[in-house]
Amino acid sequence: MTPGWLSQTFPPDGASAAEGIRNQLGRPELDLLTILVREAAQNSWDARVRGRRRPVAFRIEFGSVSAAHLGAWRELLLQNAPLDHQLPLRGALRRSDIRLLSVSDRGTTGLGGPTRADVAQGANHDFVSFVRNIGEPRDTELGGGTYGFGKGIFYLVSKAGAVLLHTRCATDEGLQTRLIGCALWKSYVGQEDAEERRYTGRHWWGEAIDGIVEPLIGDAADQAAQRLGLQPFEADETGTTVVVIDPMLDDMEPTQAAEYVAESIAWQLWPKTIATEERPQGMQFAVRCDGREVPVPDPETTRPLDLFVAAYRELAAGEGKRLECRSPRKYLGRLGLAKRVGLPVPASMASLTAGIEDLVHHVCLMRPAELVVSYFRGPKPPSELQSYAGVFRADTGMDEIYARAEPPTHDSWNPHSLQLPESTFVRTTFRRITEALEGLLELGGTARGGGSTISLGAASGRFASLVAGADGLGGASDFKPRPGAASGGRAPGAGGGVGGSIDRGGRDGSRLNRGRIEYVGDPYLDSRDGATVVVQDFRLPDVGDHEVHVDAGVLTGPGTRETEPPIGAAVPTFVAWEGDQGRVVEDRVLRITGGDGTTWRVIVRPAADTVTELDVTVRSAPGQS
Amino acid sequence: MHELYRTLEIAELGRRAGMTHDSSIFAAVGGDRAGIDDLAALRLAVVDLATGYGFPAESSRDARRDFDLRVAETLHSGMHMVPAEAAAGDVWAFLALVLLPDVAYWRYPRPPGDRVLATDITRHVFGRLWWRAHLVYSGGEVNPYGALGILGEAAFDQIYARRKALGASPHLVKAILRTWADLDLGDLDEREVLRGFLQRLLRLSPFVVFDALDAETLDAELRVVVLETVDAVRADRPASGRIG
Amino acid sequence: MLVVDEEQIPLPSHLPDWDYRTDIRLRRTVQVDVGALRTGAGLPPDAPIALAVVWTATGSGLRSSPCRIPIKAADTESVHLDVRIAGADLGGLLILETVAVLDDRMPAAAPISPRRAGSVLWRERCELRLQGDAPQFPLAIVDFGRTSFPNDAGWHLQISPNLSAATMGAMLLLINERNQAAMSAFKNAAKPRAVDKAVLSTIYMDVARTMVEHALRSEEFSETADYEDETLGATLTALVDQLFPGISIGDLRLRMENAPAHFASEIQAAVKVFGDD
Repeated sequence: MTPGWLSQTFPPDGASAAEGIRNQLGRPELDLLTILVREAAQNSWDARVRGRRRPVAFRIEFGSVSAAHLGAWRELLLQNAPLDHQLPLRGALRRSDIRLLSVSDRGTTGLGGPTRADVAQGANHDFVSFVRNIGEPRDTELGGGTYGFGKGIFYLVSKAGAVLLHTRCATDEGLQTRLIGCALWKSYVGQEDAEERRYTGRHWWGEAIDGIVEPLIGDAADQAAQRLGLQPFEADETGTTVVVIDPMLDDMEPTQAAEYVAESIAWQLWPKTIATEERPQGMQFAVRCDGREVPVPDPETTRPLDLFVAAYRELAAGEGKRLECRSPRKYLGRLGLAKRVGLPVPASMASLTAGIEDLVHHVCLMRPAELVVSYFRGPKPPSELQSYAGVFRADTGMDEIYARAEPPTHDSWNPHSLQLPESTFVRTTFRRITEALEGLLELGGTARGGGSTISLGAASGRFASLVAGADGLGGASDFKPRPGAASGGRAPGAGGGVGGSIDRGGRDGSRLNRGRIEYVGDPYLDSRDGATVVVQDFRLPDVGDHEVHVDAGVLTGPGTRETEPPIGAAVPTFVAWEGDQGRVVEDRVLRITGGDGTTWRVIVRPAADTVTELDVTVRSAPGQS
Repeated sequence: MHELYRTLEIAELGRRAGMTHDSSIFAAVGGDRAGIDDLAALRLAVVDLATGYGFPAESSRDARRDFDLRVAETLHSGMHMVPAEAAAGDVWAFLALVLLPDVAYWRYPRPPGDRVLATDITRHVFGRLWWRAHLVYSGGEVNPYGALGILGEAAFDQIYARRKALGASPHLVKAILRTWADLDLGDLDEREVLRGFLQRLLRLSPFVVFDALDAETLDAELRVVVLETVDAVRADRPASGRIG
Repeated sequence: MLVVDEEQIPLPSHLPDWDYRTDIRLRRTVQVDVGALRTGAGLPPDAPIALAVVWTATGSGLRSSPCRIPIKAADTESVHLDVRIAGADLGGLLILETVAVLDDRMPAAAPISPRRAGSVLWRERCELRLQGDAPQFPLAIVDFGRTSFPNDAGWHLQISPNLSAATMGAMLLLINERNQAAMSAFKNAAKPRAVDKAVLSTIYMDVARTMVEHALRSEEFSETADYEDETLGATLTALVDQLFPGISIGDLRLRMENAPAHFASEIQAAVKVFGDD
């Protein structure tokens, strides 16, 4: 018998229309490819063969039907295919390039159990719940979803609304291969034997038996799969391949889409790749595009995901912070945190999808199933060089509550979709996480100056009375610079044996009768009578009588002056004051009238082999204004 | 606590010695808290040393000097502490007030606060010794702490007093000690020459980077400075001193 | 360039979260025009020159040179400096100087030309803050645009609910780099203009109010609580004592709750807002 398509008509007592099923995912925030990656991988993980040595291998492959198989595709899959307006499959199959997106898992159970929904034998309903029933609750304990909406995504990604399901599972008669086509588009009114009938918009391809399409089974399935060019199963292998016909790639080239998917796997599924005590083997992911391997970033070594892995490891080691709700009392889960200093990592398309720009300050939320729900944005660290990541994993006792707070795409926790007190638990979770993050930033000693270079010593001192009891930084207390020792406007002389510089601040503090002085340029070296001297030009801007003093000394460190010269060592000596028109004053104190714009020079003979510093001060003469 | 200990007998202080104290903080971030056993061993070693120099009875100046040298080595080699930790006053306050109060108060009877509280580590009974050992320590030598004995405490304090400019660099401190050890002072006053020497180095520090020189070049330069000092000090002496 | 995890980043002004187990690795390439250096200093063409990196750490009080390279070239040489400094030796502010020095004693050519070995011919200094500079009040300048605080705010006092935490780690006054008035006031705090004084006084008062109210709102804050020295609790106790001597905490709480506006004015009076400083 030739396999072909059969479209579902509405039974007299009603059924779900295709539109209803397609809308079950709601209006997801995430793009379809990302949802596909998340849902498919979670399905695969839930279908893992327990107690098996081999890891779950998950592969996504972008490709086309090869020329050798095109004929078979058309011959087999056009058989009784719905009309163009009923399902856009025919058009897709007629094209010279039939694009495919295959999602496969191995090391999984395959879709077993009965193939008809009305058979209640055994506990395994995998085949039926994938192929027939949509919206059936998961039976996997702590599984990734709460509803069976996940597989709807395969149809949404297919522009043809159609997928092929190729699976191998254990049955009472041993391992069995099954092959069936499923399509989901929209309900319509069609003709059957010249009579109008309403159709649900669901179609199946396979062997029609008693008005129900059954999958091809065993040899028939193997042969059809071979003709269609599907990857055969090894003799002892179980698993499932879902072939999405004519996938929607969001206007991306297939290679681009493959890279995006590879990155998304890393961002959305990284916890699954990590081996832990309960999970001796992490899940293995691979992406291929037109036969070429597209590397999936390793979260353990890829920035900034490695930071999340570090936080996760803290949890895996049984550490991390317990978060609790106090009223009503409830243990919510544990939070692991990790932080690092380093440059921000440029964002990728997949990281942006995850909600993370270059700077990581996020906490990855997950339930015990360890599927990434979302990345909760925490407070930004005070420095761009600082980033932190956290992982919050809900306690098993809270799994159900968080799960119910999730939309069908499982990508957020919405407290408002819950009743009291459960909504409180979810709200409190976010609050506790934020508190923990604030603590993290606080402990890191963000007091250690931001990006600015201005000196805060003085400002800090002004506020010191508010913390009178507390000491400064214990570790540095012994060696902190003395107040006033900070270097001001000094310019030590260049290299050689002598030099000059000037102190622009005042060191004697008697501000009241202190006059103003205007320096003209920096001190410089010159020579007088064949000897090297230091010269500083200055003006006195204020009108009135002034006394000008110069104090020359030797610097022994930044801002530190020698108080007493070494025995037998030279000291800087005052030479003269020079005004304009060759006026020379050799008195130590210069008594002049200011405000006339005259540039004066003070001449000092430096001490050899020192940095000589000049400090010029002006006082209004007593009795003068 | 310090106020109380000042007035207690040394024997009483010995009974009060403890391995832990509620406010003991061992170093800053990243610091390992010393284990109780290590602390006990350290106490034993230091008390042993002190006993050799007369503890708990009164001791002579020379005995205390020798004790200092030995204990410097013991602390530096035995505490496995790094400079970042040793810069914290808390560690030293703990040592002097909690672990070894009897020895601390024996070494400095009725001490001023900074000797035990480590508000100024360069004056702390133990802290200054650790740092002294650290500055002179030469890992490759047969006797890595050999240079400890070159300068007496008062002389070493002269370097310490110029800690920021001169005493910060083990490279420079070791060179100063080498230069000093090679110097024949004749009848000159050691203290006076050392003071002049260090003052001259200080004058040079704004434009000479001693640390940028290798040991050999540095020694040669220091030698020049110390000889300048010796000449200056000699020239400064009263004329009568120079005759004969 | 600072090397973090084998990655090079331009030297930042501070390294958050440093502890002394973190070694510091730095790299830079210096183009040295040896010829010009010699000519500029009046040195003969054969004067030996070395390039060195010298660091000083204010926290440990140590100084050292991890790297010195004699320069052989006659004119220009490109020198790669790659140094690793043991974190155990560091602390506080790390001051890094790259210096070109005279590498041996030279007989003086001219009176002002260098002759001592180690004489600096060129130097460049940069700083890397590893730990706080012992500020009496923990302060930081931050661009609020990069934080969760409102962009146009002037300041924010971060204060921990944990009163047993050390004050220095539990409290931090952040000044918004974008807020000109606040920035200038803090920059000029050593010599404040009249406007700076007013701004500083306002912020001071607000910080005091935030601290006092934070204390009073905390249930565990009471006269009988026994806080260790240098904890936030001790600091707040001292502050409340200083501002409101002789008034019980219960009394203050009532005032804050019943007459918050009046209480705010009381704090203004207690800190002598816009008063002499």
